[in-house]
Amino acid sequence: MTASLASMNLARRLIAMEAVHGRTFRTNTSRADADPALQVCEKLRIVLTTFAGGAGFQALLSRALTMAKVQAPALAVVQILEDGSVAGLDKLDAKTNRGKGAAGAVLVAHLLELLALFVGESLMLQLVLDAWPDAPAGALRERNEDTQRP
Amino acid sequence: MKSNSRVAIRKIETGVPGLDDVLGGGLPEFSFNIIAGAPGCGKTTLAHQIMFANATPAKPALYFTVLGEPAIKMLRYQQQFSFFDQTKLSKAVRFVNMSDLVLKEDLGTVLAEIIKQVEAARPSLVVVDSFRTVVRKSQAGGPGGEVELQGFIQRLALHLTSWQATTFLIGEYTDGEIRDNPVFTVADGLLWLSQSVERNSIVRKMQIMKLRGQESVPGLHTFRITSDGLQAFPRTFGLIGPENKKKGTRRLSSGIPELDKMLGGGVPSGHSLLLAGPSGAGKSILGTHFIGEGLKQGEAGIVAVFEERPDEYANRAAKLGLKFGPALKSGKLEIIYLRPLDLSVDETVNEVVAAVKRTKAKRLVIDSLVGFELALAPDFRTDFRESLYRMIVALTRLGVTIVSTVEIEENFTSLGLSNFAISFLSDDIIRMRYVSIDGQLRRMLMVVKMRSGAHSIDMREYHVTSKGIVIGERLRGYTGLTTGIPGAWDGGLGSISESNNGKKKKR
Repeated sequence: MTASLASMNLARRLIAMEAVHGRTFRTNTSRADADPALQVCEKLRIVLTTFAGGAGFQALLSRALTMAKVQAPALAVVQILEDGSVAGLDKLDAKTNRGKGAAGAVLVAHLLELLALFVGESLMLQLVLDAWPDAPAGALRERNEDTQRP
Repeated sequence: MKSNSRVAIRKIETGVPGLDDVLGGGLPEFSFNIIAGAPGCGKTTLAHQIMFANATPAKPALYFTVLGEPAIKMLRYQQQFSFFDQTKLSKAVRFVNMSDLVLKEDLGTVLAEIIKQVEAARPSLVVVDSFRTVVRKSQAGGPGGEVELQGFIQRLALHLTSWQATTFLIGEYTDGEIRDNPVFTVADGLLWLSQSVERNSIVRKMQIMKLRGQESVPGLHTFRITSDGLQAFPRTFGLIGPENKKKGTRRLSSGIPELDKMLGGGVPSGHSLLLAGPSGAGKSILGTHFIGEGLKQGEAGIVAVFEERPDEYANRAAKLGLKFGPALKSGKLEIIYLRPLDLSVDETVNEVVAAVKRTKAKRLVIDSLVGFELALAPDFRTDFRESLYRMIVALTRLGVTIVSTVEIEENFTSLGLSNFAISFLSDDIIRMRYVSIDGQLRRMLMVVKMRSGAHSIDMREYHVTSKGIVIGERLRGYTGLTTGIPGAWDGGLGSISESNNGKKKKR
């Protein structure tokens, strides 16, 4: 199953925000290895673990990864650890993890899609907003505009 | 201590229709409460309903989930209820999952985490769902577990109250676990929910087993869970200390002048009149006359029907020349059709009381008590008489005059008043029956009882016509009319002679 275009778009926006944040972060610190998709997963982990518990988030992300692997086989090297953190996302082949079909974005999109499936679109967006409280108003809610699959 | 120096405990509205009445006005602010009961009886829904009714960004709520229903699933289902306001999430309502902590750490660490979250969020409402998990953890800890648990609960209660939070601990408990339970000892309030299956009906009941500082309504109160959440039906019908209107200050016309004469001028206001008779006697028509006459005089009315739909009732009235359409449109008349099979009396009466208050009705027709009983869940049928008593008292206190119909299985040897033994609940009784006269099955009615004032003792024939009930002449020249098989009246001579040692004498 492929993630919807809407979910992919939202995932890409989140990753883009983290990329900008990462660049700012890198200019201010010595840390240079922060993969934006990994950072998105980590931010979602913090919010969703508080909300659904570590086991709850881990189960959700594991399912998202299974579905994402079908769409992006490069994710085969990625693993979900017991605490819900993601390992291996930063080790993806740079070629496959670039552009519109980036494997990291596929994983995030499937996670968002699963969340929307279980708790509904607006609750999912609310949880995303909790993770990015400084995101520009309305930027995340644009997801509703297109729900077609790519 | 002077009464005016007592601390005033603010009461929090629960957002659950009827529950505030049961609680005696709402939940005491800063109280430490338990919502207990078996799985599936509505504990989590109740907590959510209270939380969404009260949480605001300035006074947020913290909902701790502990190894009970997973949060994602809980929200998936809870958002189906109309009270679930998604805009309140995050700012006014926050969910915190404690499952991992409870699994891995001791109660002290769990308490420290709750305190940390409470101090950060400063909630006015805290829910721990399910608290039973915490209890089980302490019990698994061996003999010292209970003491540890008691200490934990006491510190939790102290801390949350000091932080001005009203707290709800949710737990699955059975009846046998109430005694000597440290959780229940510390709690200020204990709300017990239960559900039972009676034949094919589910009956839900709640009880306020404990509530410090205020007077709740004792007993079991039925409640229902719909897409709007819980609705409680207090046994008092929300009529604690309302106006108690004096009965019989005026007479209400039945819509049939001859019957009014028999009643000594009409039905006394605030009375409960029972129309008892067999099927086809015209009881419903008489009730329709009563409502129609009220509307003619500008009095709002309610008809509670159980055996036919409101449009059918209105159509039947139209055939008698009583046009209910305009009154139904203007809200002067409400025909309440109560869905059958699993009603509780309290639920039914609450609907009727709400309609009476809404329309300011002066007249109520219940058609019929037999249909009413059949519409109840089997569990409630055993309490039907008691419930009926409470209903009649509650409604007549509001100044409503009630006409109820009851079907009686006709007996041709005696005169029964009702199969329900509810006659004593009625101020007035009109008995309608068939009598066999001259090879015809004719109809007869009589006023059997009127609690205040004189009434006719005539047994009058009546006819059911296209215009409704028409009362005819007194049935003269018969004896044994009440048995339904009268004989010819012999001027009293026969009865005199029969009374003389049972031996007939020559006239």
